[in-house]
Parts: sequence; structure tokens; C-alpha cells
Amino acid sequence: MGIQFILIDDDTCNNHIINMSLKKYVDADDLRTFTSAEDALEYIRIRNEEIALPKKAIILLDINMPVMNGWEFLERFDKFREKAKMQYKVYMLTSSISKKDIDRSNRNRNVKGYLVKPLTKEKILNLFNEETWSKLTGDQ
Amino acid sequence: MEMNQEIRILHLEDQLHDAELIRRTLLDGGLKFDINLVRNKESFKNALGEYNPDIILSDNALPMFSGAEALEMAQKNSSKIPFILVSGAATEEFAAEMMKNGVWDYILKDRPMRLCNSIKNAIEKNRLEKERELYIDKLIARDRMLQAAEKLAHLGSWEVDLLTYISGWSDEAYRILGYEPGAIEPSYENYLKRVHPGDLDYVKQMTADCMLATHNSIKFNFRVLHPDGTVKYIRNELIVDRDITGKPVKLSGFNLDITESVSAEMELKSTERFYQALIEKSADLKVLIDANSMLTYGSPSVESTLGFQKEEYIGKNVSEMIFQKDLEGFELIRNKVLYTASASEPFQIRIRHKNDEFKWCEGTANNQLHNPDIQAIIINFRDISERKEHEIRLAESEKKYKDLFDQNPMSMWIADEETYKFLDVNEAALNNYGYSRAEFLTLTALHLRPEEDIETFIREHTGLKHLTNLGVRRHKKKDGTLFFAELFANNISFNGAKARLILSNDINEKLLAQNALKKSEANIKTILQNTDTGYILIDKSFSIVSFNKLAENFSRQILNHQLKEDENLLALVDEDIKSTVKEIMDRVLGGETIVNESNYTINLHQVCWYFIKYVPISNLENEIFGILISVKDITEKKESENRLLQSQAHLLESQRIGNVGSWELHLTDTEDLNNNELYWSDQTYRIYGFDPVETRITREMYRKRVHPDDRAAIQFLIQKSINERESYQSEHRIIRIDGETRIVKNYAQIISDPETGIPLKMVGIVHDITERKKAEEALKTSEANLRTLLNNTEISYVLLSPELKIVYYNQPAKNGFLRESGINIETGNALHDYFSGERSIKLFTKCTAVLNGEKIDYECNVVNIDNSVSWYHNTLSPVIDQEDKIVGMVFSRTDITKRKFSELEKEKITADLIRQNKELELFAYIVSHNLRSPVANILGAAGMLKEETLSPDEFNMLLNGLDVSVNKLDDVIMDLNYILQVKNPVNEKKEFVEFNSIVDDIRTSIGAEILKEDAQILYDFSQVSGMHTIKSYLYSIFYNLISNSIKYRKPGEPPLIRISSSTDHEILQLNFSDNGIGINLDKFRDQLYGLYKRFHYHTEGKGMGLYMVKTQVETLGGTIILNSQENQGCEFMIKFKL
Repeated sequence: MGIQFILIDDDTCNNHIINMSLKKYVDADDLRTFTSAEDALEYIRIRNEEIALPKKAIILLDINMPVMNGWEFLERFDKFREKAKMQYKVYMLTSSISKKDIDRSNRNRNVKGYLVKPLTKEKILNLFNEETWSKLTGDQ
Repeated sequence: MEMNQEIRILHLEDQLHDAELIRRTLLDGGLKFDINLVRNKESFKNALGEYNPDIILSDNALPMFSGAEALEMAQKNSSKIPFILVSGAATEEFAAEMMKNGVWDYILKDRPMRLCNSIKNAIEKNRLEKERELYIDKLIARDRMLQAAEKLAHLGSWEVDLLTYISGWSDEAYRILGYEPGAIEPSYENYLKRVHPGDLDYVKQMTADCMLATHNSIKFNFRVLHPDGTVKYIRNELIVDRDITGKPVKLSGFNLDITESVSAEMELKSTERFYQALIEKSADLKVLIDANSMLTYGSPSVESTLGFQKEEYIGKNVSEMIFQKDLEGFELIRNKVLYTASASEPFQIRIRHKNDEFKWCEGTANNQLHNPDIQAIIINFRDISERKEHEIRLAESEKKYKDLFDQNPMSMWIADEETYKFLDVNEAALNNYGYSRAEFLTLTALHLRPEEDIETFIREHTGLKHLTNLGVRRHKKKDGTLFFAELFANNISFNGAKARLILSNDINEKLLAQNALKKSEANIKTILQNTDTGYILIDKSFSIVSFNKLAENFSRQILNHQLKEDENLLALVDEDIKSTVKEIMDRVLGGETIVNESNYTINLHQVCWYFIKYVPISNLENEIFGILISVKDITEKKESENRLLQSQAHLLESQRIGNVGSWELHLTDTEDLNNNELYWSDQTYRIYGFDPVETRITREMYRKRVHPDDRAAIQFLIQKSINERESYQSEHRIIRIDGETRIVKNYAQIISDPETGIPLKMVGIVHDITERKKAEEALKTSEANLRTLLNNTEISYVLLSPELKIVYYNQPAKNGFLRESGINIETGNALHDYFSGERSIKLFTKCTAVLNGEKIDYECNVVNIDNSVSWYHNTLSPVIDQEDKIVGMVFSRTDITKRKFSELEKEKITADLIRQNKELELFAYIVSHNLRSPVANILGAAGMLKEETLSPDEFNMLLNGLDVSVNKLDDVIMDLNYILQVKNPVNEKKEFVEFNSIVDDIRTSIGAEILKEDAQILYDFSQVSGMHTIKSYLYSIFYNLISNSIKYRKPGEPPLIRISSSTDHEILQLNFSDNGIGINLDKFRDQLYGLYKRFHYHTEGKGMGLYMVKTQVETLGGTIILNSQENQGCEFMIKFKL
């Protein structure tokens, strides 16, 4: 499966579970996990420069993190070139059920969806339904 | 002593035979006498004291006693009794010596014929001397009275003869100017020296005006400056006497010291002015005119006083409202002010009422044309018509009457034409007839006649026309004595009723003298030669029959001629009066008696006055055969009379000007005052509402006029004054005869016999002070109203003088300052002195600014003595008078404590709400992130565990995840519980906590970590060793900060933590510093103390520490500040208010 997952969350316990679930349900083979949003940004910046190998990626982004939280990440992410940004689909993955967070995420043009933890099998499958995939692959 | 009375003779003679001889001689001489014979020194001495002799006859040589000794004793007793030495043989030297010592005559016993005449001469001479003395005594007494009255009333008078420049000041005039009476020459220069420099030009101008102007008197007020700096206010009236060409010949002035009333008025006025500034009040009439005299404004009082509606006078020329004759005067005033900005001039003019009457108005014109706010001349005035009318009427009636009647030396009275009842009487008549005024006025003319004459009287008086000489009639005195009076009558109208004015001339003495002359030729000669009257007897053809020595002297003086018998008298008089003299003598020959007073200039400059009387002489058959002309030198009497009249006039004038009356209470009976006689001046009568002409006051009448409520007090004052011989002052109400209640002020003093100290009379002056009192009352009422108003407000007012002294404060102000400082504020002190230090200086600075015209508003809070806090809104504003001068300031403050506290309360509530809201948000955040995050993990792991295809590794990993997450969840719940506990008010007790014991406890509890990281904790609590607080909180604060410092240490560097304490201005400060990694404050300042905020990845921090520290510091009432840079360590400063 040619899709890369970038998981940004400081909660290592959660990261283990997501890892396991993605491998199990959608057979994810390229999964990068970051507990620091800053590190994740740096990785994306470098990845963007490797234009020779453009590859679609799904970013799963937590909100509540030390030093740089999810929202701050999105501000920095927005500064990337449009073409580069087109390579990524950002999903918020958070334990927050606060309407404030949901609204905020809906208003952000770089965010594709809001996923409330835990990330169940249904949510993962739904995320990768036929349509979604065909669109994704079709764009390629 | 009259001729028909017995002469009382004291005769000192040891020889009875000689005594009898003398007695016979006297009897033969036709003398009526009573003789008291004494024979030695002892009885002579007693007789001198008890017998009261008219004359003393004394032998020269007695056993153990001599005539010289007797003379000495007699003179010691009374020098007035004539002493005749009747002696045996004596040398001429001895006789001359005795005469020199004061013996009247020296008679030899063997030649006693001369004795009778000598006695008569002595008696007559003595009588004349006594008369003169009495007269002079009376003058002196009068003069003393005047002086006393002037002094009491603070009235001075002075005059300048403008021809000779001789001037005179009364004693009080000296005092008013601040000189000792008689201390300096009473010149105009010395007068001006004492005029206040500010008024000098004004006084000079007014004096000059008075001399130039056609009116003869002018009134003005000015100030006098005494050498000691005292300023006196003087009401002055100048009166100019002019000759027929209108040239001024005499200038008289009356000065009334009105300082007392002026200063009382000014004092009230200055307070009033403050109130005026606070609360606008309407004044008298006020109109504004422009430069062309057009009326531009009128106060509402114009309509009420003058009857004109606004539209009737606005736009009209002000001259249309002024009385024709006063127009010129008004123009003068207008011109005076028109060309000088702010000039102000007083005036008195008549102003037209709508009903065409004219009102006397008094006021001032003030030029405010330059004042951009006004641009007009302000005319303030008030209606004084009533007062003016009163003044004019009084002046007229007074002049008419007083001069003619009261002071006439001839006895005069007015009797009703029908009933003969007496309506008025003058002083001379009362003296002559022996009645008191009150008694006399209850009588009728009939009482003055012996009963047998009454029928004749009625016949004579029926149908009398005009001036009539009623001839000589017998009159009866109070004591029954009959005497001859020459009467003149004139019909007059008195207070509207027909009355008769009678002049009575006592000619008794003369008639008796004539009778005596008929009896004895020798007696005639004696009398004629020894009186002060010159007599010339002429026959029907005016030829001189006989004359006495004095007549001869007068003739030499007046006619420059030596009289001879048989000369024609008419031939001797000057041509120009010859016909007049002839006419007079013809009338006398027709039976009339004519009296006149003439003056003659002797030796070119000396003016002498003569009383000349022409009496017809008839024989027993009533045939007139000649004329007796008697001439008497009355120059001295005339001069004193003139002086008396003048000073009387001065007094009257002074009293009228000052509305001051005087009175006199004789003190013959000091037990019951009602038995004493009371005399009032005319002005006193007027003050009490009586007609001075119609009424004679008695004590009882006076008592009734005193207000019933004041009677006892006044009675007490008078009695006390008499008992203690002290003067008194009183102010009391009187009820005038017309029922009006007035207020009068009395000053009185006792005049005592200078030798015995027995009070003789009480003299006083009375002053109607009702108007002044009313004005004062009105001021006080308005002041009282304002005071009530000011005291019933919640705003504090303090009025300050330009010297920043407290002039007035109201009750709220007093209460406020008392609450604040515990001190009562008092007038006269400076307001800023009630505060100390910086506040005093600040207030003083503000006040100074206000005095420059600024208005200042500010808010302040003060700590009261009971430690409560009051908030005030203060206003300082200048008080500006009509002339735009700053005359003080008003300090007002409003207590805004409630408002302020509610404001603060609101702010606090808002802040609390915001904080609570934030906390709620924070809680929601915690719930959705920190709480839900482990729950989500548990759910996720649990979901995965349902999968069948789990490797054992995967299974273990999920179980481990579940375990971690559940623990994490538990931690969060524990934290939340802890936080909620801190936020809720704790019941934990405060205690004194030592800082070093806290640090030691922490060292023990985290000893392992300190050891592991090789951490060092240095502390210095020498300045403050501890504080009174909740121990667990302080422990938690120290714990969190110390463990943070260790947690966030720099890698590879042992943590060094420094803790110290200090105080400054009731603030306790704790400093924590470390050498750790620090925090990037630029980035994280906002989130520094947020819950579950962490600024680093690599430690186990939950983001709880700083949040807890802050919450706890704030719960204990402190603040926390952090200084830090990345990699530079942290420094926390915690401040607590002690």
C-alpha cells in the first residue's frame, strides 16, 4: 500500500495502539511516529524537498502536546508551498470531545477530518473506503 | 435775697450794751432783719455752721478772740458772707489792713449811721454775685453734659471761621481723630493728617464741593487712621454758613464714629459674601444701562418697587425715570463713572414710579462697560423714600421750634386759647415759676394768677388779637409767692389748634425797688449807686433829671459823653437812631414799657451788649411824668448765652444726624426710680414715637414703653449701675407709642457729686438701631437658612480665606475630619495643617493653584482612625466677588466610599467571573484532553483485545497499555481533587512558619533525588525568618519550586538553588533562583502557569507544579513573578503583603 502515515502524538501508549491497528486493519507499511510536533515538521520539510519521489501521506495529529501543540503545528504547516501541501491529508486525532476543538478544526482549510480517539476499526476502514482510495490513487 | 425778706445778721459782740445800740440803729434804718447775737468764739463758730447768716457784724476786740480771727473763721466757712467790722477806736492802718483781708466795711461804734447803708450795699452786691455764679454754674454744667453726651455718642463737632481761620474742636472731635483733647492745634491740616490716606482725596474733594455747591450741607463717610494703626469709620456732616452774598463764612462739622456698626456690618457682610458665592441670591433693584443711558436690563424688583413692566422701560433712556431736578446730579454721577472702568459712585436721587410719584432712591452706579460679560453700567439702588421723608419732616419741625422757644431766656409758654390749658412751656418759665415740666403741663393759665385776679384775667383774654402787651400783672409761683410780671401774648396755631404764646417778664424786683425808692430817698440813692444797672431818669421833655454812677460810665462808653443834669437825652444819641429812640420814648410816655437789647461797638472793636428798659414813671394819680431808663451791661451774659445756644444747637444737630437722643434721670430718690424726674431730648421723644412738643415724659411712661419682656432686665441694669456708680450699655426692645416695636441701644453713665460721690443723675444717650439690627437679623436669617441648607447636605463644605484659614465649615465637614483625624476642625486654623506630610503639602499646592483661579477636582482615599477607608471626591473652587476678585475658596468633598466600594466590588466580581470562566474552560480542557486521553487509550486497547488474531507480543503490549492508561487516569483524578481542594477556602489554621524548617523538611523528603543529582540548596533567611501563614501551602510552594529546579536542571551541571527572604514597605519577598535550563518567556509567558502545561519533552513533568504554586501563592494573598531566559536559569519572586 503506497500511503505513508505520519502520526504526531506525545502519548506513546496511544501510538502503540494506533500502530498496531493500522497495520492490522489497513496493512499500513510506511508509518512514521513523532512525539514532538517540531520534529514532525522538520521531517515534512525534508520530505517535501524530495520531489522526485512524491508520495501521498496521511497525517494523524494530536492537539494537546507539550512545547508545540497541534494548532501551532498547523500554523507552521500552512506556510509550506501549496503544491507540497497537496501531498498530505491532515486528520486531527485527539481525545478531545470539546466542541471548541471540533469547530476550530473544521475552520482550518488544511484539516480534512476530525477523529476522536480511540481510533476504532470502523473509523480506520471508513477512512480508507473505496471512494477515498480511488480518489487518492486517481490523483496520483 | 429780696428786699422784703429778713436779713439774717450774725452779730459777734461781748458787750450787751453795744449790741443793743447796733440793733437800734438797724431798726431805725428801716431794715427788716433777724439778729443772732453771739458773745464768744465757741458760739460764733456754731452759729456759722447752723444759723446761715446773710451778713456778719463783728466786734474787733473780745476776750480771747479778735475780729481778725473771726474773719478768718468766717472765710474758711464761706467766703461769700459779707463781713462788717463794728469796732471801737482803731487806727487807719488797722482798718486798711482788715479791708485788704476781705472785710466789707469798717464802722465805728460811736458813728453807726453808715451801718444800714453798708449792709444794704453788701447784700445787694452779694445777691448779684450769687446770681452770676449760679448762671455760670449752670453754663458749666450744661457744657459738661454736652461733653459727656458727645463722648458717649462718639460724636465730635468742630468748626472753622473761614474769615479768621480760627477753629475749634470739641473734646470728642479730638478723640475721634486719635488725638488727646487739646493736644494739638485744631487746624484743618491736623485734621487731614488723620484722614485715612485712601480717603484723603475724597475728603478734600467733598469739602471743596461743599464750599462751592449751592447746598449748605453734605454728608459722607470716610476713614480715620490712628497713630496706632486703628481704622475708624466716621460719618461726617459738613455745614456751611454763608453771608448774604453766598460766600461761605463758617464751616462746621459733625463727626460720628460709626466703626462699631460698620465693622459689625462688614463682618456679617464678608460671611454673607461667601454664601452669596455659594448660592445666588437676588439683590435690591438692579438696572443696567449702556453708554448712551439706554436701559438694557432691570431686575424683577424694578416692577415691584417702581411699577413698570419690563417692556415699559427696556430700551428707554434712564433719564425718563429720574426726577427733573435730580437729572443734573445724576448726569454728574454718570459722567464720573462713564470714563473709568470699574468706577463706582454712590447717589441719592428721586426716581419716578409708574403712578408718577417720585421715590427717593439710594444706590451706586458701577461702570462695567469694559467687562465683556456685562458691557453696561450697573446701577444698584433701593427705595429710601420713607426714610428721606421722615428726615425732611423732622428737620423742619425741629428748626422751627427749638431755637425760638426752648432756649429763650424769657419765660414762655403756650396755652390753649379756649381752655387756657398749657400746651408747652420753656425752661426759663419752669425755673421762674418753680414747677416741673410735667406739673406745669397739667395746669392752666388760671393757676398762675391769684384767685382774686381770675375774673379780670378772663375778661382780658377774650378776643385778644395778635401781639398784645398785656401789661404788668400779678403772678403766682408754685410756692404761692406773688410777683409782678410783664406779659406779652400772641395768637398762634399749635398742632392745628388755636393757642396763645405768652411771654412773661419778671419785673418784680424792679417794682419792689421802685417801691422802696418811694419809701426812702436814701435807699434809692444807695440802690442806684450800688447795682450793676445804670439808671437815667428823664422828664416828659426828655430832659435828664437824675442818673447814677453806672449810667454815667455807660454814657461815657456808648455815647462818649459826660452826662449832665438838665441835658436833653435825645440830643445825645446818634442822628441815625434819633427817630427810633424818640418813637420808643413817646410810646413809653403813652404808658408802654419797652425793652430792647442793643449792641454797641466800643473802642472800635469791642462789641458790648446792653439791656435797655424804658419804664414810664407815674405819680400816685397815675399821671405819667417821666421815664426811667435802665441800662444793664449784658455782654458777658449774651456771650455765654450765645455759646450755650451754639453748643445746644450742636448737640441737637449731632443728635439729629446720628439719630441719637439723650436723656437725663435725676437721682434724688435712688430707692424708687419712679420718683425721679426724667428729661428727654427731642430726638429721644421721636425715637419713642412721641411728639417732642406735646409730650413730657415721666419714669412711669418710659417704663411702659420698654418691651414687657425686657423691663425686668433693664430695671436691673439701671439699678445696678446706680448702686455701683458705673456706666452701662443696654440693647433692648421698646414699643413705640404707635405700637411699633423697635430696638434701641443705650449708653448711660452716672454723674456724681465730685466731693461726696453721691450719684446726682444718670445721663445717657439712646440710639435707634432697629434698621441696623433688622439688616443684621436678615443677614443672620439668610445665613442661618444657608447654614441649615449646608448642614443638611451630605457634602462637606469648608470655606477658606485667601490666607487658607478656615472661615466656615458645615456639620458633614466637621464629622468627616473628626472621623479621619480624631480632631475637631476650627475656624481660624489653616485647613492643610490638619494633615501631615505629603498630604498637607499636596493640599497646600492645590489651594495655591485655586487662589490663582483654577478649579480642581480629584478623588482620594483616606484611612480613618478606626482603620476604615473612606473615599472622597473633592472639589476646590475659588470664591469670586462682584469685582472678580478671589476672596477665598470653597473646599467641598463628597463621600463616595459606597460607590467606590461597589465599583471595586464589581471589578472583583467581574474578575472572579472571568477567572471562574477560565477555570471552567480549563476544566473542560482537562476533561477532554487529560482525562479523556487515558480513557481513549483504554477504549482503544480494549477494542483491540477483542481481535482473535493477536500475537502474544501484541496481547502483552495492549495489556501494558491498559495498565499505564488506567494509572494515568487515576493520577489525573487525584490531581483534580487536589486542585479543587486548594481552590476552596481552607479551614486550616494559620501559624508562624519558619522558612528554614520548611527547607529542611523538603531536603529530607526528596533526599534521594538531591543526592542523585548532587543538588545544592543555599538559603539566607536572616532578614525575615518566617511568616504567619498556612504551613501546608507554604510547604507545597517551596516543594514545587525546589523540585522544579531539580527537574529542569541543565544536563551535566549540578543544580544550585538559592533561596532568600527580605522585607520592604510592609512587603515580604521570597526569592528562588536556580542555574537550570530556564524558560523561554517570550514564547510561553501566557501559558506559564496553565494546568498541564509543560515546556519540555524530556522530563516526567505533568505541568502541575507552577500551576499549583501560583494558585497557592494567590490563595495566601501574594503574587509571583518569574524572570528567566532559556539556559539562564530561573528566578521566582514571591511577594506577600504583611
